[in-house]
Parts: sequence; structure tokens; C-alpha cells
Amino acid sequence: MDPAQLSVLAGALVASVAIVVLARLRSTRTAVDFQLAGRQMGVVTNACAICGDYVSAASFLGVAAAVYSAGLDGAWYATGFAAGFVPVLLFIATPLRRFGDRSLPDFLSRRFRSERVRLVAVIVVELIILAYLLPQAVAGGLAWQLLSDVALPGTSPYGTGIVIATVLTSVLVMVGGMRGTTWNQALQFIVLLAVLAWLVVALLSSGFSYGGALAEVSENELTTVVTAADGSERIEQVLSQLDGEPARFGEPGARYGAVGHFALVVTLVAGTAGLPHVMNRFFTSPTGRAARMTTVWVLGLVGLFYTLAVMLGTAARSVIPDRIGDDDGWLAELTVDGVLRVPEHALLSIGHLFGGSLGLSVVITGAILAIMSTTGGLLLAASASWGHDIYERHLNPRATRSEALRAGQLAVLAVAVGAALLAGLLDPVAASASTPSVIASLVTAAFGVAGCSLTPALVLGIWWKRTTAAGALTGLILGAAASLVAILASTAGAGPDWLLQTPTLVIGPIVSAVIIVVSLLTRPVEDVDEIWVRMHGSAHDRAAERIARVTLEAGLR
Amino acid sequence: MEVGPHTGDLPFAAALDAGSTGPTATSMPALTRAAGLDDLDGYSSFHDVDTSAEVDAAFRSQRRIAVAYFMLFVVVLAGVAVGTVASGWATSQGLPGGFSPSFLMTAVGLYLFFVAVGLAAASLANAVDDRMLGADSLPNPGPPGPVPLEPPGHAPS
Repeated sequence: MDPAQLSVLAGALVASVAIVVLARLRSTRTAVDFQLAGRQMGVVTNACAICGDYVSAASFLGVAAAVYSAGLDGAWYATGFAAGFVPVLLFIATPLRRFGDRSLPDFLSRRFRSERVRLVAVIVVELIILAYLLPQAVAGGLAWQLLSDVALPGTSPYGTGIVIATVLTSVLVMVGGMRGTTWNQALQFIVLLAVLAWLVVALLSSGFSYGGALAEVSENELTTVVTAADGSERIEQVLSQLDGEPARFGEPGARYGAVGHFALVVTLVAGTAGLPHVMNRFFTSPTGRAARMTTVWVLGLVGLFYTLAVMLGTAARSVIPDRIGDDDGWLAELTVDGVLRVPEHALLSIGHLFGGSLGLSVVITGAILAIMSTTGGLLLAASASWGHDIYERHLNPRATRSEALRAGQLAVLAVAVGAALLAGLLDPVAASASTPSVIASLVTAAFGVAGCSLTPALVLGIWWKRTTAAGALTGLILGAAASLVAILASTAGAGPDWLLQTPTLVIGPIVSAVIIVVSLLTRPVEDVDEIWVRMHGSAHDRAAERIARVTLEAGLR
Repeated sequence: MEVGPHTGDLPFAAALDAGSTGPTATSMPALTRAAGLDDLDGYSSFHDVDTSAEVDAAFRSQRRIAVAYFMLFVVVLAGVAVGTVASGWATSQGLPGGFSPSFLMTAVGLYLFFVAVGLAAASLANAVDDRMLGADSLPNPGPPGPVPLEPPGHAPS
């Protein structure tokens, strides 16, 4: 391992630890402080943290990889990821915060006055968390594998990277809680943005023309590396799903047919509102209005991020074949006839081409930070579910403050270990031949479950008074079960990919209709007018703003 | 007693933040009592309430705004997607710089559109909140007096 490479990663990790220690010193050591940072996160800080939470390895490495391997179809991955925050702003953020709970199961339970809804929601949330954690752990393994060939006893470098990414992050979360995690996520996102910006500047300074590169790569047919059963590798043309002809970079069809295109976008757009680690962040805003404005900032920041990521994926397809000889054999090992074996190496290759080994370590450090920031958010969401929804509400209602904290912290560790074990079983090289990006595809599965189960229950629960506990319960169970069956069936090739891998287009509306029908047939929630006043009124916001004025006046005297 | 907003934020974030509010968690109990409020999280404001009629009216307006902007979002997003899949012109490199209309919209244009929709919807929603809610609230109780050491019998969570 090159000491210079290590120093970049070490510096970033030291900064993360310092932030966590600082957060610990400011903590009041309550469960609310551990899970929600005392509900005092400012608009821009929270927006950066949400972006850090949301922009995982799937975005940092996976979007560029998806664009590299599937061109325009890959670019729609990024568009779908960003588009999801528009419905969040319109339908979810403000009412969710105004209702003032600690987690999505907590919100649903109190909205529908039902502990059964809470328990089912916890199961769904944990499934989503695990599905989202798995690709982060995979990405950690890939990143470490590229940075170093050091391995823990009994594991490979890939396995070592998984352990480091998950276990280290879980320790930071256990110590720093939501406050430390938020600060880390905000700073980590800014670092990620800076890394992408640096790569773009380096590209443009070398004479790179975005439009020119796009035209150039679109002239030739898209190709991919295929590994045969005997281990030999060959280049294969990618055929368009639209017309069966050779696919091209700038045209649709490299991965999805016409319906599949829509299904992907619907799955990503609907799924964002059901992601527990992202939605939990809105509970840390001081007011519903702050949550609304935070989402506006998020739209701008993620938009900027994905614009740069798509450009870099395009650049990788254009630049790598011409520059293999410039790179002292490093690139040649990753490619077959100028095509990357693993698409996730696209961004890393650009970093190495324009920054040498130091550039590579900067990009790898960025990838590890992306992994850590999202993993941290996911682990905190798991902590809120197990520590508050299960332990405090059911297992030990008389739990002391420290007992509740400890339960949440243990949940963090258990979930991290579970994800690491599952990731260790996956072979990303073998999987990449069948997906535009193995990491982005795993994340898409999490979006599918979220969009089919939590999102319909949330949207209807927030905007239709007549939604009942029975309706929500039915929707959660049906949506989660149907989407899981579809996604698992897709791995066996049991049907069309557009239906099975991105099921929200079909299952989402069905689940919504079922919730409506069941709700109309069952007893309405009691005191729903009181719930409505709390969720859609702004008295809480006005009170919080008055507190802030009082605080400011007291501070100025 | 700690005073001052943004003490939960990093200094640079506090300098950048606009419109964020809230004291630190440790000062909240004393300050909520000083401002004449009870448990903020439990929503039992002493001086300032929304009536059910007010909220229902504001809710209907907010729903119209949300649905209208969502329909706009769906139409534009679907339009670009349909154009990408169905139109050969949309994917030909006909624009200056070598871009196709489809790629330019997907890689840049749609993100700008999302921000524009978000800003417009948020501005309108904030205006609805300001105009339609809080009309029946009592006047501000004025600057705080000395903070009592003992709460009047209610401990916030």
C-alpha cells in the first residue's frame, strides 16, 4: 500500500472520528438526541446530510458505472434518483415533520392509532434497510480491493473492505448518534461533490469535450465484457431491448425496453418517499416549514451531483480506450480490449488517469465516505426501529434512558454485521454481466420494496382522512410481500425484467387501490380531526419560531 | 442556561443556514415555558392554536397545490421519457456541442426543472400557511421575563 494513498483515507477517517467525538461532547445522551439530534438541524446542514445519506455508493460509483455500461439508459438511473425528492417535497416532508415522531413506524402507528401497524412497518423498514445496506457493503469491498491487497486473516481484500466499511461505521454511529452522523454526512457529501468537481475540472483542462465525447461514443456500438464458464473473457455487443439491433451509447434500449424505462423511473420516484433513513432526517428539522425548504436545497444539491456523475460516466467510456497505454499497466489489468470488466471502476479509472495513485486514492476515499455516510443513516434508522419502536414501545416500556440507548446501539451493531455477512457471499464480477451496475441494481430493489409498501401507506395516510389502520396494514403487507416475490423471481428469470426488477409500476397502484377499498370497508380512525390539525396545521411551527425569537432576544441582551 | 440558535450546527453551516430556527435541546424546556408554551413535541401550544376549520381549508389549498405541481412534474418527466424512447429526432446529436435533445434533458435539463418545481411549490405552500393559518392566534406575549427555576408542573419529553 502506497503511504500517500493511505494518508488520504486516514485523514478522512481521522476527521470523521473527530466529528463524532465533538458530537458526543455536545450530546445530552437522551434517545431523542441519539436518534434525532434534538430536532435542531438547520436547513442547509440537514440538506447536505440528506444528500450524504442518499448519495451512496450506488450514486457515487454506481451512476457513473450505469452510464458507462448502458449510456442513456444509465443516465435515467440518476434522473430517477433525483426526481424522487419532488414527491417528497410535495406530499411528505412538511406533514411528516409536523406530526413530530421519531421514525416512519412511529408516525404510521400514531397516525392510525395502531401498534400492529407499527410492528409491520418495522419489519418492512428493516427489510429495506438490509437491502440498501448490502450494496454499500459490496461497494466497500470493491473500493478496498482497489486501494490495497491487504486482507484480514481468513478473508480476501474484498471481504476485508466489507468489514472495514460496515464495522467502522457502526462504531462511529454508536458513539456519535444522529448529531455526529449528521455532521459527518454533511461534510462527506461536500467532499464527494468536491471530488466529482475536481475530476470534471481535470477532464475539461485536458481538452475534454462533453458533447464531442458523447457523439464519439454514440457512433460505435456499445460493448461489454462477458466471462465464460471456463473463465475466459470476450467482448460482446450489447443489443438494444427496443429493436434487437446493436445498442448505442446515446440512444435508449441498452438495458431497458419501452415499458422497462417507465418502470425504472416510477420505481425510483416512488421509492424515495419510503426510504426510512432519508425520511427520518426530516424528523430532525425544527419545523415543518424547515423540512420543506430543506427538500428544495436537496433537489439542487443532488441535481448538481448527478449532473457531474453522468458526465464522468460518459467520459470514462470515451477516454479509457485511448489512454490505456498511458497508465503504466494499471488500466490494462482492469480492461479487456479497452472495456472495463467491472463498470464500478469507471470513476476510479478517471481518478487514476488524471491524478495517478493519489488521484485514485482520493476517489476511493470519496467512495468509502459515500458508503459510510449512507451506512450511518441506515444504521441509525435501524436503531430507531429497534430501540424505540420495538424495545421502548413493546419489550421494555419502562426502559431507562440508558437502556433505550443501549438497545439502539446494539441494533446498530447487529444490522451492520448481518449486512457484512450477506455481502461476503456476493461475487460482484459475475453479477455485473447481467446488470448495468450491480450496486445500483441492489439499491433499486430497496426502492421497489419501499415504493410498493411504505409510500402508498404514507401518502394516503397524510392526504386522505378516511385511510384506516386496517387499510394501511393490508397495504404494507401486500406491498412488501408482492415486491419481494417479484424481485426474487427476477433473479430466477421467471418473467419480464421490467415487471419483476422494478415492480412499482404495477404493484404500487394495486396496493394503493387495496388500501382505499379496505379503508372504506373498515372503521375510521378516531379523532382524525385532531390528527389533521397536528399534521396540516402550523401552530407547532409558529411556536418553534417564537421560541427562536425569544432565544435570539435573550442571547442578544 | 445555553442561549443562541444554531448551537447544534457546525459554525460554517450556521453561517450558511437561512430560515432555520430552534434553540439547543438543553435550553428548550426553560425557553418553552418562558414563551408560554407547554411540551412543544406533544403539540399543546398555550397561546397559539389552529382551528379545525382553518386547517381543513388550508389542507384543501395545499392539496390542490401539491396535486397541480405533481401533475406538471409527471407530464414533463413522462414527456421526456416518451420522447427519448419513441422519437429518433430526440436522440440524434442535433444540438450545438454534439448533444441530443434527449441526452441534454436527461443529463442536465430535468434537474433544473426539478429545482424550479420545488421552489415554486414550496413558495406557494409557505404563502398558504402564512395566509390561512394562525389568524385566530392570540397576540405574542411579549419579551420573556425571568425564567422560573421550577416548571409549572409539566416536564417536556
